Amino acid sequence: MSDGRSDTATATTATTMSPAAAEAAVLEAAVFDAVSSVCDPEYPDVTIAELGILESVSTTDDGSVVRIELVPTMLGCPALDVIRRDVAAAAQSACAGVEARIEVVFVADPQWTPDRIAPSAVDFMAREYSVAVRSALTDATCPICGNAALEHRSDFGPTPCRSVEWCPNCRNPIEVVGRVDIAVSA
Amino acid sequence: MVAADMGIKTRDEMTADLLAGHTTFHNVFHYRAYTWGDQIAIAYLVDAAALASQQAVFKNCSYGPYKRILRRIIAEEGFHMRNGEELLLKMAKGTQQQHDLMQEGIDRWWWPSVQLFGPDTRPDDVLLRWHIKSERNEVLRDRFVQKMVPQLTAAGFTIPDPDLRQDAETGRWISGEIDWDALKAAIAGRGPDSERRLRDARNAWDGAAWVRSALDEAAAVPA
Repeated sequence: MSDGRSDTATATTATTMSPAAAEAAVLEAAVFDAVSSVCDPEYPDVTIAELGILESVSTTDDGSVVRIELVPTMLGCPALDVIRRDVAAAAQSACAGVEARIEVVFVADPQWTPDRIAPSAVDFMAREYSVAVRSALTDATCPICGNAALEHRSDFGPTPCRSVEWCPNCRNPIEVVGRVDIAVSA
Repeated sequence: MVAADMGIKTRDEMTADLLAGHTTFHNVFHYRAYTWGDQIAIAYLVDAAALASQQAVFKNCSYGPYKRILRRIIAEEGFHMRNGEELLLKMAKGTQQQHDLMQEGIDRWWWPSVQLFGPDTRPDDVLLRWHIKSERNEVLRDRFVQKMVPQLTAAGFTIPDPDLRQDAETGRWISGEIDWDALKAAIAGRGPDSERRLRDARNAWDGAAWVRSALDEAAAVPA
């Protein structure tokens, strides 16, 4: 709930509703908590909530279906299956003892952008992994020396969402998570 | 990029060295992967061995740039190993054919993985003295064997080491004799698949020459 994206989970519990709906809301909140702490396979200390991959958790009024929507950083990301399984397992354990079908789906809308990464995760990735983030909210600076003028070297980094740049100041190669614009030239 | 920046050799010179067979690689890059069984064995065994070595360097490394980049490499390598573990277990529970395919992969990659740690560390090893490495090769290798033997046998596979035995008192697994000549030959570019791999690299380089020149010409045209 800390990221402000899922106000639906707890806000509705206080209003008058049927016991079943109240239970469903409690379940929804529990599942949201559980899946929020699932970590990304590439960054084992950063959660999918912090990376903006977790879009929403919702339950039907009778609590029989829990639907978790995820936004892939890239549609072709090879880690999607693993993320889906980890999320399903976390949701399953939060639903222990409750009869509920769990649906984990990747949605293409909204589209993921680096703007969805929480500031705390941007700092962590820079500090711990030397990975810089370039978004509408933050300009990529060298995580090692702070230099803002990184030089582009390759669109193809170790993962589809990372490119490789070079810091001319401290002379380190820097991976950058950034917006990917597909340029079509005539 | 870092190596080129150190000014010893340019990227092109490094590529030329590689194609001429002067560059040395880890022993595991001199073996051939034939089937999916090999791919999984590589992810499971080789990546686990690589991860163990990298973690041992990361723990206490005195060289900042290396330590920084290792943090990220370790996270990534851990994901590869997890992928290998999952696939190995899937093959273990699969059909007899899948099980056999996996066993063949293990048979081909067990020894190269064990050898990857290298022979026992010499007492005057500079990497230990400079605090690049924090643990001796034999310690890492032994830890790998202790972890992998129970996992593989629990999954129903055998280890291609007829002299492998378990110490009755300590319960520790003791490997048979390790063929260090195989390691030396592989590193020297005389491994079972060294020649074909280099030939493929040369063919790829030569075959893509026209792409490089086309890009250079395009870049030279004023916008």
